Amino acid sequence: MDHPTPTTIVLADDHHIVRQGLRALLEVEKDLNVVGEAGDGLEAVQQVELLGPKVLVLDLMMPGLNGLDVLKQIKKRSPTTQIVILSMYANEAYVLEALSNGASAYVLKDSKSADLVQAVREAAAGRRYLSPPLTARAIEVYQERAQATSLDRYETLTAREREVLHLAAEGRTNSEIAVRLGISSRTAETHRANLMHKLDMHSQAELIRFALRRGIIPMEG
Amino acid sequence: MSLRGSDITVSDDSELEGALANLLKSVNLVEAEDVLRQLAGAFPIANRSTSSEAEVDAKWELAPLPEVDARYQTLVEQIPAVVFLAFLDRGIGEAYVSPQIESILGFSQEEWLQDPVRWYQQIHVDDKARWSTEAADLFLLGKPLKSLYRVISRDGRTVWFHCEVKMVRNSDGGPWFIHGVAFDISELKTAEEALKKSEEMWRGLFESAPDTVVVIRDSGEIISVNAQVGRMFGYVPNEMIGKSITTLISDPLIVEHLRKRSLGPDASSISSPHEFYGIRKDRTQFPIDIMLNPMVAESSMIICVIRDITTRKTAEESLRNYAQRLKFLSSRLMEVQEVERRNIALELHDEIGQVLTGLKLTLEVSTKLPAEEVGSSINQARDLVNELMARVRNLSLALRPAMLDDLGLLPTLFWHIENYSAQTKVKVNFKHHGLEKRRFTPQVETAAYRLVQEALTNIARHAEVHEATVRLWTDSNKLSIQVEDFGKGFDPDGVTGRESSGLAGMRERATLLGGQLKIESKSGAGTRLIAELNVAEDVAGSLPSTNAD
Repeated sequence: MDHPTPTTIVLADDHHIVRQGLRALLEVEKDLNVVGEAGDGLEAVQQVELLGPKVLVLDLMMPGLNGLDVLKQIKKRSPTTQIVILSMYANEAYVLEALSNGASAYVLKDSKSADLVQAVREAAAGRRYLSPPLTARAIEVYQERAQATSLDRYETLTAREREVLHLAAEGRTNSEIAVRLGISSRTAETHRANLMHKLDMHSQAELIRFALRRGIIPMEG
Repeated sequence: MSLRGSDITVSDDSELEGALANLLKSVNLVEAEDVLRQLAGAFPIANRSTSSEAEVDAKWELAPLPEVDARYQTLVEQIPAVVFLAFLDRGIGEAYVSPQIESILGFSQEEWLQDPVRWYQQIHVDDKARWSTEAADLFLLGKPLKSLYRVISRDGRTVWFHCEVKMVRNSDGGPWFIHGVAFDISELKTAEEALKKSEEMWRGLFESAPDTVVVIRDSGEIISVNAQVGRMFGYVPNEMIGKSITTLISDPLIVEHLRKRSLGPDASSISSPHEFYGIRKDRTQFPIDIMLNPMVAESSMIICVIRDITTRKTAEESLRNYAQRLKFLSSRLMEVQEVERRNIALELHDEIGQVLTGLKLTLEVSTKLPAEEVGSSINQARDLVNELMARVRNLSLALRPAMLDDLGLLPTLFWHIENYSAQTKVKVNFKHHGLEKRRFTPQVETAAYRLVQEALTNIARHAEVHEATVRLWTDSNKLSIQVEDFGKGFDPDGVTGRESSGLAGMRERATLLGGQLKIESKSGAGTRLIAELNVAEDVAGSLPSTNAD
């Protein structure tokens, strides 16, 4: 025995044929030992609690409790078990979600079998692993992109609200605006209230300042 | 009324007048009674030697009214009324009241005459003051009294009397006697009261009816109308009297119908399908229902009940619209489902089926290959399987991205926009605020995703641009979506067919979530779609599940 204590593994995938394939693939390796299988999310949680494996190979898409939910539960109940996510999706959002919920490795289902073996070994050793073409850099880029972008509030106004804003900034009253736009003064009032709300403004002075800054009305009268 | 004061003798007329004036001036009723008693005591009657009833009776029998002939007395006592007489020149002592008093009030002639203030006591408390005033005119001015009084009978009933009293003067002009007659008009009064009550009741009913009630002649002339005409038509009831019913009802047929009604007895309500409209004072019109009922007592008059049915019409209208929309949507649902199925079938056949065929051929060939070449053939097969996996994944994502449920709106939109840009070469400028880490209800996330997806698809199809902007922002109640391009634009009112049903579908999504959808576009000036979805938990839309789309 090269490895006196082989890495214990539980496989969780809702397709029997996939589990068979995975088992065959992993048991070729002397240092890896598949000790249990689970056909759905709930069973996966039970098996991990029962067997306390070193690594759980977890399909992200499963009926009942899905992979992400299983991930969260296992991290709570069996924190020493490392988790390798097996997924169809190369999408960064999934990878990010899995990693931030405590997964050690993320392996695509169409990657080479060697990738999975490596992922299990890395995870068992307490390291992170992403199967190609996934990269840590891509994940970071995505994370930055997902941050709120600055939204120009003026752009959130409807065409009508913009017209009302222009007239209001010139100091027109609601009834003057109404006549000018051929709408009822009640409607003009509603538009004005809506645009004030969207721009987070609470007074005519703020509105004029905003209009000046945006160049909606010229600096000099 | 009979005046009776058996103890009064009058020394001169002015003394009597003074006493009467005192009596009549006494405002206080108890005081008036006292004065009457005093009068009775102050003028002791000469022939009143005893108080025994028998003697009194005898006195009446023996000494009938000296001024009245016996024949007249008989006549008087047959009149169905109380006749009375009282002398003023010889004290109120000498008086006469006809025997009918007993059948009407329950007091006998004797009882009535014995007590000098009885008659006054029996006058209804509310009528006493009036009697005083009216009697003053009679006694002091000689003006005939003609009035109604209520008198309380022995058993407590109220009896209405119509009284007519005159004063007769003696030759030297002093008050001699009064005589009068009192008719019991209680029955008349009761009937009158009942009539008044009934009239009040019907008037109340007439005025409180929620409908405008108009009484008209056959000619259409308005005789009476209730106050509802003000609320419903804007007229003051009085200004309508004498006008034609066609002032209120637009249809000239109404008069036609009235004429027909006057021929046949059974026409009552003008029923649908004919629709009538009321005309308000300001010339605006509103839908009404009309009921016509001939008046039983006055056959040339008709009661016309007008009901404002605006609310009902509005409800019917919105129901009709709703039904129409439902019909439109369900047909669209079927159409969309069919298109979707066709696409999936095509996809399965072209994309998956072809690769599977290739895979089968590769595997079949490999069995016939020499052992050393099997390896490369298997590799080829594995590549085909990978390709299959990719296609299945894409197909599944295109149908409905599981990501939307797993990760939420923002990651799904990133993914979609990336794919979209890769496929369409339209660069999307995606701006968002307040959506990171935020999850909405599945209904809201689905609706928002589909709205953006459809709007972007439309841009790729029609806008002829290479750039589009998607903005999403949210506060606690609302998720706002804006998809904008500066491309071809279109006339939002002029779209038809598939495109219009696409827009209707988008609008429906927003409406289901208590939100709204607006499209601003002009030919040549680009398009801006603005949707607002209500994200408050309690207005989760009526989509049964996330899989409903």
